[in-house]
Amino acid sequence: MILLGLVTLREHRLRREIELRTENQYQRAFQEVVYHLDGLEQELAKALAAGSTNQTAKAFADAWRHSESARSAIGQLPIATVPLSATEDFIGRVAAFTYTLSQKGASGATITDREWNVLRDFRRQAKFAAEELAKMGEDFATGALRWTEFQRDTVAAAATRPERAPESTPSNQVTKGFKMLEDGMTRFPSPDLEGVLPPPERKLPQVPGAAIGTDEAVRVAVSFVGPSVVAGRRAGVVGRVPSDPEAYRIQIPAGGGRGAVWVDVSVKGGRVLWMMDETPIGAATVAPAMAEAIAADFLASRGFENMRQISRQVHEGVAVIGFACEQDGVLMYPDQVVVRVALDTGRVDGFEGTNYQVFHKVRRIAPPGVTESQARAALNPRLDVTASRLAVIMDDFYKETLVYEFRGTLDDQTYLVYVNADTGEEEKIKRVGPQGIETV
Amino acid sequence: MYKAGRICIALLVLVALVAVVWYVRLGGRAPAAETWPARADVDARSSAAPTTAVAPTSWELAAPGQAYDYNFDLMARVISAEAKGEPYVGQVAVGAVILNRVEHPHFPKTIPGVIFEPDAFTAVSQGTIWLPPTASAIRAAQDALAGWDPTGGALYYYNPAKATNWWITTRRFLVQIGSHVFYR
Repeated sequence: MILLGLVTLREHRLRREIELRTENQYQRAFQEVVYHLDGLEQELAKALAAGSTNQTAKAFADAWRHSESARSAIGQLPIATVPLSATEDFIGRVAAFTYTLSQKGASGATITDREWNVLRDFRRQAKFAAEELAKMGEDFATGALRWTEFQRDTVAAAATRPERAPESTPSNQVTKGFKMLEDGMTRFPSPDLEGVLPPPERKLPQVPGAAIGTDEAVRVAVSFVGPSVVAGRRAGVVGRVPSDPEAYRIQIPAGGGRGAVWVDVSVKGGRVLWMMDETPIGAATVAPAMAEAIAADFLASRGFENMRQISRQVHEGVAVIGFACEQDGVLMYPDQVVVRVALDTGRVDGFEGTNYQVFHKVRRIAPPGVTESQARAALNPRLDVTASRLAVIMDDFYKETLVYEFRGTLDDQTYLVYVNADTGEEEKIKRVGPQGIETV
Repeated sequence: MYKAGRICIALLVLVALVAVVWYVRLGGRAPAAETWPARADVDARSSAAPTTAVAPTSWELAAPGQAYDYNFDLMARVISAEAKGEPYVGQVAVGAVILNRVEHPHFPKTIPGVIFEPDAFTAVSQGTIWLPPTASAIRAAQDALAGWDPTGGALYYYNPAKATNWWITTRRFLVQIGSHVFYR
């Protein structure tokens, strides 16, 4: 009996130790949120008062660092079901804003009156958030509540509809604290960031064209998949997806040894956004290079003209091959599609072309303002350039820019460098890794 | 003699009890060590998959060499554990939710940040992401990264047959795929 008691005691102590460790990690994350919001407020205050570009740029860089750290620390708290969207929106926007301003500062630009006003609003908001959180911190510091208890209570509460008036448990106190923070954050005026930052909920535009009906959508899907794959199966609309752009979901049911085929066709314009064939994939017999040709043929047969291959990934018996459209020798990065080829029989079993369907058009390409050799002057002389071409790239505002794309090697690395074809300025740098082009 | 026998039995019972308690304490860990393959095997399996070949033009598509891509591996693990038995499109959908969260200001900015957010994924809370990912989960991770999103931009999903989640139903419903319901 004594031995059993000792063992149980030991068990109990071990459990408490583990729980305490988790608790300490949550405490640390929480304190870090408060610390970084404080720091953010301080740097924003400095930026407001600073007179030189030098000092403002430094303050923006530090403010950006603090806001990103605050966001990362929030992600470590057990608050998955606590509504905090206003606070999280604020942190996300302040991070994007201070980052943009620090970039502008790096190119020597001073801040405008409008930007200064936004900064002032943001500083007040940061101060409020830091103070509210610090107040809640007291509850945790005095031992009135543990994060681990709060986690248990909120996860349980999220499962069921709150029927009764909330009891005044310590957990509900904290929920109330978060709610006060949220309410306070929503009362701040929302700063005018139109054109400065992309909207937080970015939506792709609709596909050009008139709306189609379900029968037409099924016809589009069936002719895209092809009669040999449909093989007499009856396709039907199974739903309407409120995606951007909105789509009819068509399914060809599994049968005859084939898996189901899913196709999304845009309601407006009636174009295939993506397709996926779930037929099981056997052992690979087709070489990836062969798959590239199969994918290119598929695109040509479905009316995609002048497609150039830009990427290839091979995993577990499938090759995923990316293409972009070329017009007058200029590569159009916004007009991208991806084709999946199953390497067992070498059939196309997937297609993703949402961006292409939304953005593709015949563009008027103005002649570049600088020559290729002038653009090359913007490159690091250490870069050993192996190829160059003209391309169109797109930013977060869907604004298109004509660039020279240079491919070069430096040390043992391969890079893609984009130089603005009108101003001759370096726009961005990507590195080509073992997995293909790294998107940074 | 008789007394000694009783002491012996008492001791045996005690030892048995201690053994039982010991086993219960180790809980999920004891069998795990036998059935889970070594980490190195799993990692090699899912990262050795990308093949590189000499591309035909000077616009070679990938640099030679292979690297362990932890983001890709983590996604495949979550998909495998969260969407086992779901249609393939439903597996891609779970991958798409992870990526939609990375893009959204309300969530951490990195794939590991999103995946290890406390209580975000059952597979993480219960430790099943440390099982080796299935081949189809690895494909699904690749497809999600390549741009397929069967959810129409979902940030949340749950399985109504396995869990009640009142909170999630306050979000905007998008679509159902297999047994998962997707929300934004």
